[in-house]
Amino acid sequence: MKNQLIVVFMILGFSLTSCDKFLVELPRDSASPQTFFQTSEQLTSAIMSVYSPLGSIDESTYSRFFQLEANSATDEFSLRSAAVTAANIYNASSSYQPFGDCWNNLYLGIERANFLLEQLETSKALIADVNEIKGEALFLRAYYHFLLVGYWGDVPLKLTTTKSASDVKRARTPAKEVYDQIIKDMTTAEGLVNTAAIWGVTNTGRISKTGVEGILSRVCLHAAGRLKDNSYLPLALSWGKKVIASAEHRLNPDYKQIFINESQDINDNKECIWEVEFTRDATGVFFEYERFGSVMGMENRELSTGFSQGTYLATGTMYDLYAAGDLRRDWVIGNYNFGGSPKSASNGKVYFDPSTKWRRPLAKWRREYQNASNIGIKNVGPTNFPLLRYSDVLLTIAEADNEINGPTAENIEYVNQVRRRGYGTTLVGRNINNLTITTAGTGYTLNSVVTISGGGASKDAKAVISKISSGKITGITIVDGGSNYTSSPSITISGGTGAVITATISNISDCELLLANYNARPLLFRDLIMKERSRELAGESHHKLDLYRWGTFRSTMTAMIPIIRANFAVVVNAYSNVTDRDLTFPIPIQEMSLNPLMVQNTGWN
Amino acid sequence: MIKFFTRYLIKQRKKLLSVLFAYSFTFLFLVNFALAQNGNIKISGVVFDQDGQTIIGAYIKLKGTNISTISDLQGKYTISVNGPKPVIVVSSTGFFTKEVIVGESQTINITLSEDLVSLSEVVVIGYGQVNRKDLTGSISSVNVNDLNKAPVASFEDALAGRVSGVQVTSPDGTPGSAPAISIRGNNSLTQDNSPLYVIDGFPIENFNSNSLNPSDIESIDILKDASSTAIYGARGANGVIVITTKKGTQGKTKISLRSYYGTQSNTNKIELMNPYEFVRYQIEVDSIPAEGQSSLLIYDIFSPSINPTGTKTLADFNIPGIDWQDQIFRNALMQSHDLSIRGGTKDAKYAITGSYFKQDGTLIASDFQRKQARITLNQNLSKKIKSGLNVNFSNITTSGSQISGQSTTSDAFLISSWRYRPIDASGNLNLLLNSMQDPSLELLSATNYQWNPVFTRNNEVRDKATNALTANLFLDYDLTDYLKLKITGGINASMLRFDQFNNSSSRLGSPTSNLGNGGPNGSITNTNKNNYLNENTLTFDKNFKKNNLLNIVIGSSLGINNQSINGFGATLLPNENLGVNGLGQGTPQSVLTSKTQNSLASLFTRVNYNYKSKYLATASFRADGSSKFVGDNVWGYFPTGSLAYRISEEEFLKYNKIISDVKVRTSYGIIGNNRVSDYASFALLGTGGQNSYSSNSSFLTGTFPLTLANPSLRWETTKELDFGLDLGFLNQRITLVIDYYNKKTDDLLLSSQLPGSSGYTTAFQNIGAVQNTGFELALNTINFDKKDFKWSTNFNISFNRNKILALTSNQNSFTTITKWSGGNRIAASPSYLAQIGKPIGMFYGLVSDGVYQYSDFNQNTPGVYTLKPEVPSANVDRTRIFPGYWKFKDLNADGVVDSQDLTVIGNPNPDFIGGFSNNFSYKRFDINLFFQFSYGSELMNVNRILMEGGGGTASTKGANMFASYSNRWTPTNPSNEYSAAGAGGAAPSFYPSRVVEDGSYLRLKTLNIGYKFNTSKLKKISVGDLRLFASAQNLWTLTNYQGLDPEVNTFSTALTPGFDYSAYPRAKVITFGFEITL
Repeated sequence: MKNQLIVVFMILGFSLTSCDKFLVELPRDSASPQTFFQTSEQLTSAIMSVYSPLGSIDESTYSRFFQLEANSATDEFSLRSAAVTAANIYNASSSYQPFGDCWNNLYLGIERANFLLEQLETSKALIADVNEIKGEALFLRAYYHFLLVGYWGDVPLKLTTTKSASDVKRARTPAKEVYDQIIKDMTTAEGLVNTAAIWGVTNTGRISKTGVEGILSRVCLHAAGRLKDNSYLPLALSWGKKVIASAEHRLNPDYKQIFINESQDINDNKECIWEVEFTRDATGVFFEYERFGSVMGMENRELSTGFSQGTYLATGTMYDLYAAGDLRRDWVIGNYNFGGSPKSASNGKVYFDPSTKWRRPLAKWRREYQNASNIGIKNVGPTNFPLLRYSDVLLTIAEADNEINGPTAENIEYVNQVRRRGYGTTLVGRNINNLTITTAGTGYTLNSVVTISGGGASKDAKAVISKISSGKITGITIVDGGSNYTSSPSITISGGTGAVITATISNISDCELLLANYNARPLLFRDLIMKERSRELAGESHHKLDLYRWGTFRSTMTAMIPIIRANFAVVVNAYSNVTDRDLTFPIPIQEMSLNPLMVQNTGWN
Repeated sequence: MIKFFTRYLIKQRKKLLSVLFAYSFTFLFLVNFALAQNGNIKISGVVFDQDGQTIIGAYIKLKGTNISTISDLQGKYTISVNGPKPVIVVSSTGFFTKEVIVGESQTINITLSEDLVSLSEVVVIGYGQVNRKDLTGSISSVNVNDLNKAPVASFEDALAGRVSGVQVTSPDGTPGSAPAISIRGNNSLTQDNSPLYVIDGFPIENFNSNSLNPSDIESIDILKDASSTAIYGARGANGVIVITTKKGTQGKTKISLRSYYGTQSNTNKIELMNPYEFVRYQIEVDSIPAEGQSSLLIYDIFSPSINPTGTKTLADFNIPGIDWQDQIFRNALMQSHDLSIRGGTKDAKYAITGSYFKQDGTLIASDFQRKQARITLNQNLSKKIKSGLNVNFSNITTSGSQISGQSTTSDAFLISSWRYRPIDASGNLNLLLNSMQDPSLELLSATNYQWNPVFTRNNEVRDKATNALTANLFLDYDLTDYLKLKITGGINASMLRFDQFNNSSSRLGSPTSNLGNGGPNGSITNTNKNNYLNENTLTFDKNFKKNNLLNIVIGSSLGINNQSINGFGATLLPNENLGVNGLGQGTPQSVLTSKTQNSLASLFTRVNYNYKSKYLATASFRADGSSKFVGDNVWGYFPTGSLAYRISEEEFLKYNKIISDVKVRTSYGIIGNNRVSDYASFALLGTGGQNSYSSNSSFLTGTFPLTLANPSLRWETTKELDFGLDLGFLNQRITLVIDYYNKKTDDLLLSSQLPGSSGYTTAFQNIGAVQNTGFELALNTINFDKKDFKWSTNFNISFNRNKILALTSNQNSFTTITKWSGGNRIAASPSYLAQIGKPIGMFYGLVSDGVYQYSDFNQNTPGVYTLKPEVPSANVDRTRIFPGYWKFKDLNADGVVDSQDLTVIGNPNPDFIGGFSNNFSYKRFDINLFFQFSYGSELMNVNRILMEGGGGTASTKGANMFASYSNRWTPTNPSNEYSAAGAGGAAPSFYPSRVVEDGSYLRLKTLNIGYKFNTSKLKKISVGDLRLFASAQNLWTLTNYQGLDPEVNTFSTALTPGFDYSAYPRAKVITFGFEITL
């Protein structure tokens, strides 16, 4: 009996030491944070996840939201209808999903950067690799804060990882502190990251030394405007000049080619210093694709030729910003739609006549240029999005310099470099910048063929009849201004009789700004730079933040109301809805309900 | 040894399985030997019941010996007796045991009286069993006979309303969907509140009740209070459901077959707009058509400004249209067959059962099917050693894509079917029926996500096939008369294969679909779950000094639960007719692998003391260690104690003719809950997917912090106090059980939402405290007990009050979002409030105040309405409010209706729930009538937000609406009930109180009518019993709820009860069948 009991207790009792081992279960399908982060490859993989929120597929960052929805409606462009609820109709509330997604994604990026920075301290990887990654992580953390402070004003500055689930109380940090930390972090990063040359010309996705310098220049200009503190201006100037001094970057001589390259997934960090690199193949294995390419552009309901919703239309105001001969106009704003109903690329192009300045599509990126493997995918694509272009650096330092020193030969030259490229001075030389209908003639149709010949051109210009009234030509549209004209060409039109069209040829000096016109007139030059930024950078996610820092958002929107009502009344709500609350986005409702220290922006309850 | 055994189980599980089968075979072919009986006198006779029917299989034993026999098919028995004054003890299940003194006569006919509500009924508790009269805790037994009268797939489907204190809420009527069971209220906020299941002694979390054939169930006992559940320690806080399956019986082999066939039909259909109303609505809704887009163009309706070439008028649309509900709903078949073979000798008993169940859904392409088999063997190896084996295998398949729950860009299925247009622009209904997508919609909305619902159902394959195996072995060793060792081991394994396939005609596989992947695509996912368990108990059971019964159990338990998932997908499949079998030919898309495991080690003990069944006491203690927690939080300790006093055993009551039982009970104990994911305490790194980025035109996989570590995560602890009173009258013809309980749960485990600024969106933490208090009452009466007419009634009712006592970090409240759609703004708004002092899931939103009328406006210029200054505006910009817009109450009276005006707009918790069951029998007919009720709960009918003018999205262009919305506000119909067309999207994006409805109901849940044939006539054809029956489920419902079904819970967490979003409506079932025993 006794023996039996002993056996029984041996069976029942198991030793607690073996039990402790039995009760240890470490994660079996996830790498441990303690042992990861040790090789160069692991660090690269980690920094990729910090970049990832830039192009989050929920469309709340640069996949769509920043460049289109957050950046309109303004005097540049708007949605084509105001019968929806959206950030850019200024009728959304704090529960509007993209606000929350955008906010969450930016802080997700910050948390990942902080996490990586903390892990780097114990990493055994090569010190050079550790430092390079540290530079990128510091920069990205700062950049995400820069976006947050730009759209939301005072935001929690977050420089360490979240320690526990109860670590949720974060008060808003004054914007000045946020800007100062951004500048501090980016300054450190500038000394750590690779140069553009080391990354190589085809690597635009990762930030380079000159990339940091260019963004720093922008950040300082924003800090000066938003904080109304001119002491940031010299920094904006000096950082920008470092980009020029590096001699690593230049303007692409062909403005439209920049964006065609981006549609074709061709990278060139000479002009595009930093981009969001998007990737998408037909199978969708890669979760890194954009949506903006199919939302904007010319409406095309056909899948095989590049489906596009054509949801964004440029304003006539924007159209009028461009002078004759500015080749950027007909690229930024489409000068045609596709024909048919529904509109389809296979029905051919229908050109606007020059008098139609409204309802033209915003068309900086065009799906028709996408590679064959991408063009048929309905909604998403691989189009890269520029975060920093060389022309932006030039305009930024010109603006900063003008604020400090007023117009000078040097800062006017920066703007002229951008303008010369925009007018095609070196690329096409003198070209046809205007066609005048002297005699309308009779018997013409839209199919009448315009032939432009002579004038010493190295490439003949092309034009189409775009408007006919009882056989008379009432509209003619330049499709291609041709190249290197020396004199007026002759123009013949098939079909009817009697029409006389005369061409005006540009002059090489058309684009040149002269110091004489701006000398001691810094406000006039500032106004020119503001407009030049629109002409050069429209649709690149700058304009609304520019209006904020210039303090002209409310006045611009108010001034647009009668213009919109007269020309494009169906979207007038997108302008008349604007109130003072729209100087920031609302703090998303989730953040409001879960962070006890959060305070809502004025007017957004 | 235990360690060895566990390791052996894990390493050798394949081998082990074959051993198990070999073992069962050996049993099957074992020749059972009966003990030869030698005695002096042979007694024989017949055993009868009160009605004079013979009793087959009654157990006759010579008192004080091992000599026994059972009555045969004619009720006859023969037994040899010896010794002085022999006494035979005759017993049979369902009858009072009778002792007969053997006199002179050698023929003794015995009449047993029926034990209607038996005090000697055995109740299965953790690691043992007791007589009901000796129970100290609160345990309810389910009337399994009644339960089995419901034509349902699993016992859980019929459990609602059967037992006091148990709330069963099924999410909807999807065939095979598992209901949520909560016992005495929800303790946990976000974690699983489902009870622990103990099947034939084996504790299983997240038990798949579909794997169990309801006919195999012998008993279901529900342990409710701490004293009963604390023996299960860390997993007992949600209550424990103890199920025992039927074992083999001694005697002649008994073969039973039960079959039924039936049809199911949809009980309810919501009226939708007809073509005329639909077009009228479409024209009104696009008052501001975007460029080139107008309903007037699409429907070719003349308008001087927009469509001067139009040829039709609105009246031309008084034509028949398609009601898509007729296309997607069907009358569906249901069938069930189960066969059992039970028999054995005194030393070897066996039961073999097999069943087949098939339920077609009332929605097209949704089916449920189960094939199941069980083998139970019990063998006495020697006088002292008994062993047993219990193996259950089931194959469960469900098919059809999800109906409700979260969806992304497109609407959930039922919503998208209701919304689908009743007519084509051309009026050609066949074209609309046979097209995947309505092309004219492209003109209306840039992102046309609508898809022909019939195509959706028929072309999206979602097949789930589960193979579930449960195998348990035990060995009982009687060390002495009073000391027994039990060693048990078992495996509970399930393999789920999930096939998804979208062919080129489906929303997700069509090359032309916005939501597609470029072409046909699919995936296969395998989920393997394995639980291994070893439990050993030593039971001491001895009567000291005659009346002091002491029962002590000590035991240990080791368990390992693991889950591995692997799967892969492919797209652009060249041969879509191959289905998922052709995935290998496509472009590989995703590979999924994961593995998680947790282990649990426990030591426990329980002491029962019983003095003359008058004074009763129980104490237990369990220590649980779980790998889900780390450091000092690994071990949890769970003590409990209970007392009972049976006053009816006192002399002054013992012989009372009216009062037959009075017992008072009380118990107090601490129990736990560990239902968090296996690695909730750890920080995990995530890899890949959308968290990656491209650099230098190559895609680089990202690695990132996925979850927050929480090393301080610990058990959720519940302290529960229970007072109970058991009363019996008139020899237990009337019994009443009343319980009061008070549960307080601390350290609530919560998958909490985090603010985005933390960099995370959710994390597990222990947070706050919740209290549940309540009353339960169960009344059983035998109203008539005549020879030809019997009538008995069971009634139960439960009142639970739930309250939040504390939240973490000095929070006063937090809100929860039920994200039923990716794009809808209301879906992104808080829908529930959890506030200190209130029940955990309260509906949260704005208080509706009808519709803005002309009288709310000043009209200074004709046609221009400006809101009167004293009228609150439901938009920051007062000029954006127009007559006909939804109006809300401005609670803080600041003139603007906004997030500051959010408040509690309803309570989804019922005042009381219960059930009412009646059994009648008249001669050979029997009727079971079971009602279920819930009173005072409210439901959030989200469907109405979307289908009565829309909300949370900008536009409802192209979408049909409920017919009720035809009566909306127009200048000539100033309705205060429904807003004007197009006003839905302009309303604040919060839940409106107008869709919170009374969810009370009384439902005739089950009706079963049977006819039992005359046994004596049947004998001639070798049939023991034959009963024909008709049975029906969900026949009739009394409710004010406007939705399809008040029994609904689409987001079944404790924080989000009573949510109705595109729920699969519960079917009315009518079946006919027979039960036959050979």
